[in-house]
Amino acid sequence: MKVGFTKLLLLLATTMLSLFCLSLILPSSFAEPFLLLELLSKDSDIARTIFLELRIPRTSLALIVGASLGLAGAAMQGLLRNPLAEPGVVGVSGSAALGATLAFYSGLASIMPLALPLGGIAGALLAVILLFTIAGKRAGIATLLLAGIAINAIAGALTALVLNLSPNPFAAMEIIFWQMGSLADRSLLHLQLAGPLMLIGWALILLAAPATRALSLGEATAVSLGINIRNTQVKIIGGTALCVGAGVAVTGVIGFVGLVVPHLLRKLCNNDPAQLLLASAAGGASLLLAADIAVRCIPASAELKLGVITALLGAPFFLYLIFQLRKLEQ
Amino acid sequence: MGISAISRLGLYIVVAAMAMSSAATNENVGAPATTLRIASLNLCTDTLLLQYADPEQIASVTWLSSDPNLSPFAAYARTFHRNQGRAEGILRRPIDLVLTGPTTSTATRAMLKRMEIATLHLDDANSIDALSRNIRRLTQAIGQTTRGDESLQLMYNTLAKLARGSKETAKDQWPYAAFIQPNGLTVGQGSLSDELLHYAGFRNAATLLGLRTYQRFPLESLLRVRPDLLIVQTQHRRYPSLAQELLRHPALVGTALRHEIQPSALMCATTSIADVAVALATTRQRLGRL
Repeated sequence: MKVGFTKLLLLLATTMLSLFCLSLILPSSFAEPFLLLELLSKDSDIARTIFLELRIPRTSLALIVGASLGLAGAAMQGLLRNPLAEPGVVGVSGSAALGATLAFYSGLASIMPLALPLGGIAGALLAVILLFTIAGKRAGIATLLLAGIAINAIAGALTALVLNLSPNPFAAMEIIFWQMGSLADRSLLHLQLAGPLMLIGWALILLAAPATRALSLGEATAVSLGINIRNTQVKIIGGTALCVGAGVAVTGVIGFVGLVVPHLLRKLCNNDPAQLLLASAAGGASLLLAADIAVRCIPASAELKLGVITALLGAPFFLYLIFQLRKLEQ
Repeated sequence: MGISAISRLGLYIVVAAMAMSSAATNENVGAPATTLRIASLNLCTDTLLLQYADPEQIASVTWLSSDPNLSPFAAYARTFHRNQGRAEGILRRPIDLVLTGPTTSTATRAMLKRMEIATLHLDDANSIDALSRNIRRLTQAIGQTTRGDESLQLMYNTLAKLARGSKETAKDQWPYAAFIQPNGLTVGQGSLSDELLHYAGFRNAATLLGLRTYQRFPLESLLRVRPDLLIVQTQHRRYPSLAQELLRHPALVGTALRHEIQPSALMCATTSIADVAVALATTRQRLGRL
């Protein structure tokens, strides 16, 4: 199947926007009327509050965080030249969660709210730099994944430690949010804190997009084409840290989005890394919006965490990719 | 595995030897112990023990009771030996009676039974009658029935007075209140808190949605139901948690009057729940005037 890139992007954008609108007006239970009808029929204060204070932040965050994760996944796969590099799998998201929990549970974020996303970004940045040092120069797939396991283990253990050391008795039970992620009851404040930082991350990665096209031909070729490799790498590392760090700080770790989406779209983008970046952003947003609609529709006594859905979709996919890569290696 | 079994066996032997030696010394002295020494392995039995026993009767309470967010007697509790809610922490002390609660592990209870230590097990009270049964059983076991009866009498008098006051308004005119605990958990029918709401002249908003105790009150439903009063725990916010952050969600701010309750006041039921109901009734009168 051959689809033009413009057509593909248009299709993805339409999907994304339809899901965005659906998520905004979906009733929270069968007993309730459609929010849209309520908003139109009478000037209901309640419907307006629900729409503005709950739905807008939740749905916008799903879109922005989903796009960020898709973008960061595609960018990392290009940077590390490894098809399995995904923020969650290789520990970038886990480190971001550690940074965010430190900022939040120490009380720093209560004094200075911006500390929350900044903590997440610092954690993510540390992990990306570490990974780049370990696996940047054409390391095998195994090296990167092993480094990811180690980083995930350390970050996970330290996150649990931070939560357990907090004198607040509720903190220890909140590890599930940080490890599985959720968009429930996020407010406009979260959107204001993390949104702009993620947008800066997008800008950085997309600025590096044209250079990634040349880089995919090999470093020597890229240099001969006048590409500043260092500059490109710095942009991608910084952009990924901003996208993942700020996102995880307000939603917790939502895994596998950056793995599934770029893989499904790579062929459709004719293996062009620059096109893939754009398409993955739209695809990631669509996936997370759909997952968030799913957790709200699945009847459970407590709302399901988002990461549960993305892991159920993504982890089998991850196994499938490992099988494919093994075949290639043999 | 093997090592732990051996060390545990060793512990039993040591413990058994100690129990025997203490029994022997008691016999040697020959005088019957006048004061009963009581240890409690559960926060809620701690609270009752601290309220009704004489200080010299209390041998040990759990470490949880030293936390002012959990126990109304925190400062007093700190003057006693503290245990971790397990048998191990108290076996070295001369104990005549051990109080256990629903959180006491079955292993601990089985061990106490094997060692033939007298125990009194009290389940959490989820109604006022259950609370008074618990208080009667405890005060009988520790020989403080007068103290127990007096405080129960006081509680029932206060509640009866409240009930008369709230009956002045028809029940379907009562304002709605919702308990919102950290994480948005609420309190439904068949709970002590629900009963208190009725004494104070409130209808429970959670029952409108058929929510049960410890179910989450979804934020959107809360905005739709729009209770007149939100009952929240006073937050001692030196260190934050996401669970408590929820109560500060901008969508909730200003939607209803808030009534704060000290977290220790409803953690474990005591006769002072009557004071909680009185405070709620006072807030209802304020609502009426608004």
